[in-house]
Amino acid sequence: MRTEFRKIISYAKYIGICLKYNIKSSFSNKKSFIIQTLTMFLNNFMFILFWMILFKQNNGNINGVNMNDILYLWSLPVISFGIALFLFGGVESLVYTIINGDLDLYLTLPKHSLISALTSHSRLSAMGDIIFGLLLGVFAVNFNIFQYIFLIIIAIIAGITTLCIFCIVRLLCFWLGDISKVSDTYSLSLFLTFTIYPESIFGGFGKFLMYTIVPAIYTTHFPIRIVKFLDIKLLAIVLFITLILLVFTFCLYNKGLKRYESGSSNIAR
Amino acid sequence: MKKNIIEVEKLKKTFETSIKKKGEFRKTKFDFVAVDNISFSITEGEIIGFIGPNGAGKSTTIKILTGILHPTSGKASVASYTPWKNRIEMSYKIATMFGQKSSLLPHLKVMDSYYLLGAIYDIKKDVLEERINEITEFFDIKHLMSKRSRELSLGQRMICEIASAVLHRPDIIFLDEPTIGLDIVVKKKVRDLIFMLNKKYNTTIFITSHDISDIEELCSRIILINHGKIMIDEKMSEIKEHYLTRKVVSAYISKEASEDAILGVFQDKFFNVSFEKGFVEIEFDTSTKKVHEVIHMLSTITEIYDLRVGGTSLENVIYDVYTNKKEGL
Amino acid sequence: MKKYLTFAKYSFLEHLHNLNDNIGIFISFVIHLFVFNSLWSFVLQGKDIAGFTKENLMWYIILGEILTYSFHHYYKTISAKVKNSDIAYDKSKPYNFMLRLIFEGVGTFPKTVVLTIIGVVFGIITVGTISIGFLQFVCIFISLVIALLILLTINIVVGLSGIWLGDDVSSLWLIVSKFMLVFVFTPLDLFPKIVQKILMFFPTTQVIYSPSKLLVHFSYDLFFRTILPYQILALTIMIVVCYFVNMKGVKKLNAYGI
Repeated sequence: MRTEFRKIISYAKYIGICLKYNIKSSFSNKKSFIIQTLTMFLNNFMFILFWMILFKQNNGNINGVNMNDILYLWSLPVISFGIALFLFGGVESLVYTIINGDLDLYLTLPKHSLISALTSHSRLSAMGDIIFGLLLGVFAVNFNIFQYIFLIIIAIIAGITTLCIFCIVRLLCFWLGDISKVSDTYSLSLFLTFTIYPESIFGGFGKFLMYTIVPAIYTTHFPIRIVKFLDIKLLAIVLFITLILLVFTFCLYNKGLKRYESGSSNIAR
Repeated sequence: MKKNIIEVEKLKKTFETSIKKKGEFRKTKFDFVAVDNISFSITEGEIIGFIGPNGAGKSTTIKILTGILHPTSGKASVASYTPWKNRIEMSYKIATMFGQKSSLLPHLKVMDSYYLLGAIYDIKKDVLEERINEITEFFDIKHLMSKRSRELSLGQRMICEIASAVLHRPDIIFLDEPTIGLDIVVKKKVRDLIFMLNKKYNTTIFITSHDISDIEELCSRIILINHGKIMIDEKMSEIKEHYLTRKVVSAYISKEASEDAILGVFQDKFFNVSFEKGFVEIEFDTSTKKVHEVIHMLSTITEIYDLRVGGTSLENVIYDVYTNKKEGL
Repeated sequence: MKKYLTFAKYSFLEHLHNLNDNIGIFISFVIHLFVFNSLWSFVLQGKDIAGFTKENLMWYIILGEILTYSFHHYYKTISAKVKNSDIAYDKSKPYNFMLRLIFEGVGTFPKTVVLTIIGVVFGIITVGTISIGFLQFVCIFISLVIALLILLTINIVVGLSGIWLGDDVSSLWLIVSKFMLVFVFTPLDLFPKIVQKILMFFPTTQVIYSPSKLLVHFSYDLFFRTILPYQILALTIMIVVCYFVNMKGVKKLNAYGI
């Protein structure tokens, strides 16, 4: 038990160090870092503007959805998404890493190769998401400090869930080959789309997708409910799902690695 | 008594692949044998040249030894670990430099990349500082530490890469094409550093290179693999003795000398003669005839205006093995 | 002229051949339409908003999305040429570099055609058909062509900005694309009047809003007195900007030997 705990601490330190050097690497071009952060900030703000216009036309309420709901929608999931990509930006190029045989480099290092691959890069613009989400979160919780801290904790858990889902989709490349475009469409289009709109706009089919193939419900809508209503039962469900996804991600990776290690000509160079 | 640091026994690796034959609708699956029951062992402190033509099975063998690939059958032990079973434990004992893949982050200062590697290999801060000082002095790269990797020239980057490989004091370093793209001056420097590295830390060095002069300068032993099999596994001194005995006498001679006359004298099968009006080249094995004997034989039939005596290079020997003109021992 | 048509032809054939590489874009397109359909059904619940019914909004969004996805990432192709210094070699060839970019951009048309087919089918299934007369169609088509030309020039300007911005070109495109996207799901009519007047001068408004508005709320008055003049103005501005970016870019290339 002690060894396992030490291992976790060691990996936490390792992730921290990788992040430190990724940021340092990004800061070598400060101008680029600032532009990308501000751009993402602006990008998110455009959507808030859209809702503000809509609410102005509808007296602040659209079929039970109000501005506070939108504030939650654009704080918690945005923070979680931002954390996932800022800390583990290597997930975006995971398919290329595997397909091009770049996993070789990480396999010769004394750290888990998946974690090394994920921490190899940080997405700069994700900092814009984090800052935006944190700012909006203050207004979402109505300046309640305890609820704000709780929001951040839940956002971190949701970030892990999001990361696992993104990883799982990309790890299918061990069997399916170059699915970079499809996996990008899934993560950045399909998944994100179900994250940035209120749950109630989706009908039967949309809801079915959200609970299954595009599980945005576990990364967005359930976590929001947990923070808003301090729903402990839902928290247990989300924690359970996160744990399942975490275990599944590593199992899938290990299985895929066996194919990589067997030198399946579709994958290894 | 030096122990074996790498032991390979009947290592085999097959890849399942498929080919569509003309006229057939479906692809036919078959096993491609990349590494075919090879065995060898390497003593600690050796510098080994592991060479072979493209597609010979070099990269596959190295990937198995570094734990990246699992073999189909056979055994291997690297620094007392089975690579594919104890990859992470073994990785503390080895270092790899794979061709163009850099372990230095391009936008970071070299020093920062070294600190990151220190964290990856769990090197304590004070020990890391000490080692960085030692290495930067040894490799004379102190002035490069504050530069970003992408600002370094290729030669500087290669030296920094090799230096970074010894940060965690590995027992074995796998170097893939360490001098590719380097100019002659930097090449020599890199070779000298590899040699000094081996002498100072007794690190076993496993080099793959298409530059035969790298192999000739650095390696005490060559393992040549082709079509998945080991063709040559010999000490460099033995190779020179066994294979590099052929000489070539190139002479500018009288234009009146006829081809028939020349071939008449050098008609034995030991001689390989190429003739042009005014010029002749005679290749022979020094175990059958001495150089001065050949020159004397030539001078009896014609006037010699200019003469050069050369030897077969290791590159030619390797070329003959690659193109199956020569079998290994 | 022949050489430029050849550029367009080969670009067209290449995009036709690589059409299945764009499966991700086509899926993305359908997803967005699906979500917008859900969103507006939820928001409107049978009512209008700023004179737009749900049917109007869906056809508005369909055309807006088709336009957004046209020349998808063409700016990346251009900025890659800048990064690889291919642009320097191109400039030493016997043709006008800017015209080549335009004609090659036009060659990306197969993607737009597929998106149009998908969009029309989606529209018919979700909200039914839209009735347009022949002359109305001609006017809308003219507006569409001008919109596409404006979008093409925007791509060229952003791509060539890579000479100064390097990898930050993507950030610039993100800003530009947001200015387009906002009009996809928010018709200009929803903004306050004073904001509408200002935004009409933006080239991005003329790309998305103008042809889409014309499709759902056609009137000859709107076309001839508002949309056409603003679009021609936007296109002129973008051509001038293109020209200056190209001229400045050439100087920088020559100066730094890229």
